[in-house]
Amino acid sequence: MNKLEYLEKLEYYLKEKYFERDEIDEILEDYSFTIDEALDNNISEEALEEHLGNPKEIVNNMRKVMVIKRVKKNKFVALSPFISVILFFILGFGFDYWEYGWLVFLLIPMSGILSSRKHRKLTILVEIMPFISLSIFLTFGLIYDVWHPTWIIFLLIPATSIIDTKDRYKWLSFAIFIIGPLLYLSSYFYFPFDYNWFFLLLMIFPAIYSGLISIRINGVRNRKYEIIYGCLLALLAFIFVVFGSIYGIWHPLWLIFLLIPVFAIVFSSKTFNEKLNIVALSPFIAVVLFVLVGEFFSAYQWSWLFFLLIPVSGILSHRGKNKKISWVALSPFIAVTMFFLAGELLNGYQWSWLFFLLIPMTAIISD
Amino acid sequence: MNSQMKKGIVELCIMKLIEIKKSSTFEILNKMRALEVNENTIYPILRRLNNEGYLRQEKGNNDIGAPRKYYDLTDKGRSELSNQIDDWFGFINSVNEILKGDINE
Repeated sequence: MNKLEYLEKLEYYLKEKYFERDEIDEILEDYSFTIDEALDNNISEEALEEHLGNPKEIVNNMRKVMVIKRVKKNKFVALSPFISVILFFILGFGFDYWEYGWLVFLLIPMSGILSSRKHRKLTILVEIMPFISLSIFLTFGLIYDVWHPTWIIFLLIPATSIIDTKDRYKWLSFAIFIIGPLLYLSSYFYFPFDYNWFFLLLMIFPAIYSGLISIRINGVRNRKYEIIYGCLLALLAFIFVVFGSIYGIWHPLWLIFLLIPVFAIVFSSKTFNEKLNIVALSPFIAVVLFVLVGEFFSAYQWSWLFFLLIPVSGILSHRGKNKKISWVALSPFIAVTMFFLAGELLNGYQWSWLFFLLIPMTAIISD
Repeated sequence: MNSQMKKGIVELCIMKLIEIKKSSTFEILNKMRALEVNENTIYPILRRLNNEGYLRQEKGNNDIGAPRKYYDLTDKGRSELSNQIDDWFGFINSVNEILKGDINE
């Protein structure tokens, strides 16, 4: 493993363990000096890992040593499921906003991100952007039935990732990246023509330059998978444009683009080293189920319940040291699901609220 | 020897090595090899000691090859090291007394 690969691998695992950008930069600088010294002392590149240690293990050890400083539970995060349920009912019963009031459940993952000890506002913005864009997209889609071109909002996710890098030309890359969608939107509203989607192709150049299209195996970029990934991107764009133009089914055809992050997650090193990251996949699974069930069964009144899969998958995956499922944390989601399913499908809103008693009951039983 | 105890000893040795001579991560890694310490644990300890103010880093030029980054003890680090060494010898003396059977009933 050469110096570049070693540092790349180290950076990958540091990011994976949620180290702050400033800290990552310091650690990489330290290792850059150490590797140079090792090479000056006739240590071969192949023997770097043997002498300096394995990047993954080093990061794991660092996480253990610094764990007290980082894991600071915020009460707001723990309370967020309950606050969301209360807000949801205030919006529903008070203002009859049942159709989109469920968006308050996105507060749960957002509260986790906002309360994390990250100093860099940009990092917080990058992490929170999927939820912001999803909220805007679903609000516009559900209220005004404008799914296309509202989906463009999702491009803000990779756009913000470009800014949150160390790259010298990141602002230039960001500018070029967003020019494509802006031109496309301008054309859509003010000067429409058949091939205006060509503007979106402008994004490819900054995306490649900034490493947005990067697939890593064991923390090191893998060119072979990147080529497959690039081909998949082109194929999806082709299918979207051709079928969208011919049959006018832009919605829900846009769902195929969710394969892009899904592919990246499935083929990332996590899959090769550990089990599949269900938490990372859950937002995409939820969106697909929400739209398909909502669209084809006219069930938008309750298909939003699929979004509860996101916090539920998080709770199931982080079971703590005793590996036990936290039924107390799960109970608000189970109660909301039962309440709505019984209410909608069995017309039983008069009695289905009783399911909410499950929350205190679970807490008492679990002690 | 349990891992917690070993970690404490490794930390003590690292601080002592730095007190004797300002050292780079690479030099410390090499010297600690004699103790058969897992190399993956050294840098995390150095980083923690640095973050807690026991060590400071400084860059220095080198006659041959690339510039180096050296660790040095801060005043806080020196006083901590002195306390840890006292604790260590106190502990060793107690252990020796037990092993030699020198305990007064």
